[in-house]
Amino acid sequence: MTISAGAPFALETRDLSRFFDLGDHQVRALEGVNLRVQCGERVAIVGPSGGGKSTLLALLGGLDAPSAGQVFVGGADLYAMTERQRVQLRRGQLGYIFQGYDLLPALTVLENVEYPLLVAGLEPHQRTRRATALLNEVGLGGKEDFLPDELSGGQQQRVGIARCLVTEPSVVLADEPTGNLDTTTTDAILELLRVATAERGMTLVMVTHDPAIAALADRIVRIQDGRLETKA
Amino acid sequence: MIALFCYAARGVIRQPLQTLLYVLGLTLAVGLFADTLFFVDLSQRDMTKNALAPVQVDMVARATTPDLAPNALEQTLKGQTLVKSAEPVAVADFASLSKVGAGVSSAAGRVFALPQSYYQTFNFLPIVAGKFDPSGAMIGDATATQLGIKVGDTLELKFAAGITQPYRVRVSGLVGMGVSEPLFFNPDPAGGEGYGVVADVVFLPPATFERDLAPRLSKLPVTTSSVGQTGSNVVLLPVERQVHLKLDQSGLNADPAKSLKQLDALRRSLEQPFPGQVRVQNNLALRLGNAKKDILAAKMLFLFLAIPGVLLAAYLSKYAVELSSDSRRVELSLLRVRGAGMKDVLLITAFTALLIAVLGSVLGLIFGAATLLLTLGAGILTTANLELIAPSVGWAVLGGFALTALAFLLPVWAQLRAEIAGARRTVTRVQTLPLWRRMNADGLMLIAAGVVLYVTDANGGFKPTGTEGTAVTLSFYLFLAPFLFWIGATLLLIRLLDLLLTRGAKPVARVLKTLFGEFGVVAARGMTRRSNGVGSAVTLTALSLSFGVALSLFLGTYATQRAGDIAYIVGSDVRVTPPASANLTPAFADQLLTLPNVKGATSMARDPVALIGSEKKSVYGIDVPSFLKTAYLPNAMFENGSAAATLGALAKTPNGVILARDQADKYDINVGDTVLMRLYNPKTAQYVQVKTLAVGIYTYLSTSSQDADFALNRDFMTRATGTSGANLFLVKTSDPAGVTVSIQTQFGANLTLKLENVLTATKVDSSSLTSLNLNGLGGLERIYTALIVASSLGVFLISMLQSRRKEFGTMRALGTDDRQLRQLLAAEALSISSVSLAAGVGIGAGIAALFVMLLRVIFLIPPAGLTWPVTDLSLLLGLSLLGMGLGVLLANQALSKLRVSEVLREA
Ligand SMILES: Nc1ncnc2c1ncn2[C@@H]1O[C@H](COP(=O)(O)OP(=O)(O)OP(=O)(O)O)[C@@H](O)[C@H]1O
Ligand SMILES: [Mg+2]
Repeated sequence: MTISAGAPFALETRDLSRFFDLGDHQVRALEGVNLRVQCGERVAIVGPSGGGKSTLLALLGGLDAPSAGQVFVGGADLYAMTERQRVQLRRGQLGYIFQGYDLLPALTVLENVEYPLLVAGLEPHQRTRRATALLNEVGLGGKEDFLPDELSGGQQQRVGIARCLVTEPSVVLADEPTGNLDTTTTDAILELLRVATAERGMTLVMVTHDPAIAALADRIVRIQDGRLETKA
Repeated sequence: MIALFCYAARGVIRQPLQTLLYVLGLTLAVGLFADTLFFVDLSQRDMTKNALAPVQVDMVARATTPDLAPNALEQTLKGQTLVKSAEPVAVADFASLSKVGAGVSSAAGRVFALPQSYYQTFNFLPIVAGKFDPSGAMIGDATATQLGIKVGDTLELKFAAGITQPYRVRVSGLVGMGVSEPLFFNPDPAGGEGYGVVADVVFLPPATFERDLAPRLSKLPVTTSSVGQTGSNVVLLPVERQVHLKLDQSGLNADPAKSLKQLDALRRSLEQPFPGQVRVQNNLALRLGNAKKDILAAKMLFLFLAIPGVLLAAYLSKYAVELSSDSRRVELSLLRVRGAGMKDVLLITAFTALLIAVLGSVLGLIFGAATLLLTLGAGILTTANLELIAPSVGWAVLGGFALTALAFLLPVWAQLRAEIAGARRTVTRVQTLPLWRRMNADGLMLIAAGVVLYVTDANGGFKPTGTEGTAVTLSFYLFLAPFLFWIGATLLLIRLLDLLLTRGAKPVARVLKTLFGEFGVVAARGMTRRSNGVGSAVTLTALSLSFGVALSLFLGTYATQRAGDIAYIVGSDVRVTPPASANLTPAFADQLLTLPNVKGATSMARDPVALIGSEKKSVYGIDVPSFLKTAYLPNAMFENGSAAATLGALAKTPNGVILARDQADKYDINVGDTVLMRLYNPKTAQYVQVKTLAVGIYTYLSTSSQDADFALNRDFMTRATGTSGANLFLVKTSDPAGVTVSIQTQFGANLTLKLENVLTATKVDSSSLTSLNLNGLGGLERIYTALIVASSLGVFLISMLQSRRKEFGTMRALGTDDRQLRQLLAAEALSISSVSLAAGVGIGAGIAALFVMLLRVIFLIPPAGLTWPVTDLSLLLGLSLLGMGLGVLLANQALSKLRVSEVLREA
């Protein structure tokens, strides 16, 4: 493979490895992973449980530290940066969607969606305007003042998606976003995710167990025992 | 069974951190409980000593029949164990006493035949002029002054009808009678009046008495007289033979109950050789009985002071148990999979509780012993002391087991039952209010506290009981009010917090936003929507603080009271009493003023036999300007609330008089009334009538431990009576010990001065509860306060970080940086700590105020209010704040190290 200059990949890993020392033995969660994701590409990561999918996604998002190798986001070496720069990246370019939604339990739906903007230092009225717009887009208009606990799983994940999109990230990382949901809800959520990212030209990397879901992607990447098995 | 026990033991060993958390609170609780008990145990010795200190004549053996040989009694008693010295005393009454050649004669009085050794063995009969002479007599100094008798004069005694011949003897010396009460002490065995002080007394050498008087007086008839409230008949012998005993008090047990038994055995062994002929009066027993009651009261007081701390520490353990409920759920399901039944599971937890109780008690005792040694020094390690505290060790262990049952076993069993019954709690949205809130227990408790307080007060429960030598009776109800208040205030605090957090969400958010910006709002949301957790954190911290604050305030006030009481007894820092015969002038005060470190000196005249109507009163003459500068004069002692105003009014009115409240009541005197009194002129032996004007009323006047009924201007008094007006002197100084020494070296050579100062003076006639050294206890409990506050903070922080890892992880993933996280933590910590601090100080002050009411019972001068020991309190609050700050820093540190990927893996 050659690297085309001037058009960096949205994401790229080079010989990425992550080992966990568990006292008596070592778990090789990822070993020598080389992955490139084009801008605007939709990639599905599949593989058996314990294969290393979540580990890879966390490393792509700057939420962990590799044992060896590098991760580039938009051509910049993620783990060579200072923590400050990484924080800036999380606020702007990277967006996350979690399997367990991970909404802040004490904040209302609106406040949850506003939160990334608050952290980024936006003015209150701007935050509210953007967050309200996104909540309407994900179909939760009118639920602004609900607490996460008061919503269904599907609704909570809609909030999670809105919270992810509100900062207009260029890359969206989703770890089994529908893992806890039934099939009907799953379809709706995936459709929402697909449309929303496509409209905005966002790059989407999504971990899933479900081959049907994976089929929605431009490309499927298989991970087993910490190693990459690329197809087409 | 053994297998189950082993399983429990393995569990305790395998999870050291968990075990430590359970045991931490218990260790502190047992340690504090044990130390409190130990402290009282060790105070017993001091309290007993203090109670016995004023007793001069430990036992008096009285012959009840005239046929006992004079020496037989003395000889038998001398050899007994514990008896240090035995002095024979013969007593007879005379009808009158006069100076040969003078017209005045005294009323009826008493002759004592005392050997020379008596004056050395007991030191309450100082020879102030002349000397003991085998061929002469000595008389009381006041009588001598009154009758104009001097050393070398001859006096004449007349006796009851039947003896016509008067008895004449030369006077060889004068005896100071100021503290002579022990000579007369003869309590009615059936209760009632203690002293039978006789004013006019003649002392004869035993040989003279036996030769000249005993043969004649013995012929007089034996009479009986009914005495006391019961009117029991007492045989009065014309010549009464007594033996006064001084015991080796160091041979007595420090525990008053045990030494009482010891003394009773001694009394019986003294009476035994003389069946029906001798009655032994046990003067020590009376005081010991009081000491016993005082020690019980002290135990109650200390325990009530410590109970909040003990409960709080135990609550820490319960908190830890609550925190670990999830892991217990997992363990339980594992056990059930392996086929363990309900009974097995309950047994395993019971065994675990047993192990924890043993561990907690042992660690608590070790910790308690260590802190005790740290605060009181290694000097307390004696076998006698170990024997004293042995029972308390048992109580402390028992307490440890009880607390384990409360803080560990019951909550765990409750959880297990619920689990097994399948009533697993999911998140319950519909909150049922706890029972106490539905019952309004907080309000009821506070009302009950108020009612108990009111009823106790109305029944005189807070009036000082301090008549001479009686024990303070601290009724149980005195402790009930603070206890109810404590519980009520705690519950009220929880209710108010809940209200604030649920109803007051908006204002809380607004306040925090102005203080901390946007993250203040996030913090506010977090706290208001997690009201239970925040509520218990605030409650725990507030209560720990209130414990420290209450203690500190109580100890501070106690110290002030104690110092005040002693200063009142002494009058100022040092009191100088010259003998009655010294004839010093007020100029002596000026001499005292020239000594180094003396800041003030004043002289006072004292007339103990002035008359209002026909009643004897003690009237003082004071020199207002120097008195104001020298005497201890808290405003609370004066009815108009100002020492300066009252004394100023006296100074402005030459014939002014200020008087004690009880005298004002007795004679219905108000300020502005004219008071007629007769002052005694010792030179002419005549009374002089003076017309005075009442200008002020006091409850207490710092003059001496004898009551000052009235006080006049000294110049007015000397002009009226022609005396010099310097019967005692007060000295103000910052160095009482040094000044006492320099007075003694400067003037002691020529004068027998009685010197007392605030350091050496003990309150002879008050409860030993006033002389406790509470500093040791203060130091001890301070250590525990700090530890309890620190541990509750620590446990709270750990649990907070633990339960909110996911939340913080998410926040980081969403781009929250360290500074923002710090803001969030600071906003939370500051709100929690400021509310805790305010509530802690409030509740603490409330409890202290209630406890200080107890001091009204104990001390002479009622406390005017709480003493706020500023350094102590700021240290406590400062340390707590420091601890909180440190906690936030550590938490922040831990959070910035948090691996987001790891946290997000957690379900
Ligand atoms: N923090 C950690 N400590 C120890 N081992 C870890 C840690 N994180 C991951 N592992 C191990 O690394 C391997 C890969 O885990 P990972 O969570 O990436 O798998 P996964 O493909 O996401 O599985 P699943 O489909 O079940 O989510 C596993 O064996 C896991 O036990
Ligand atoms: Mg995974």
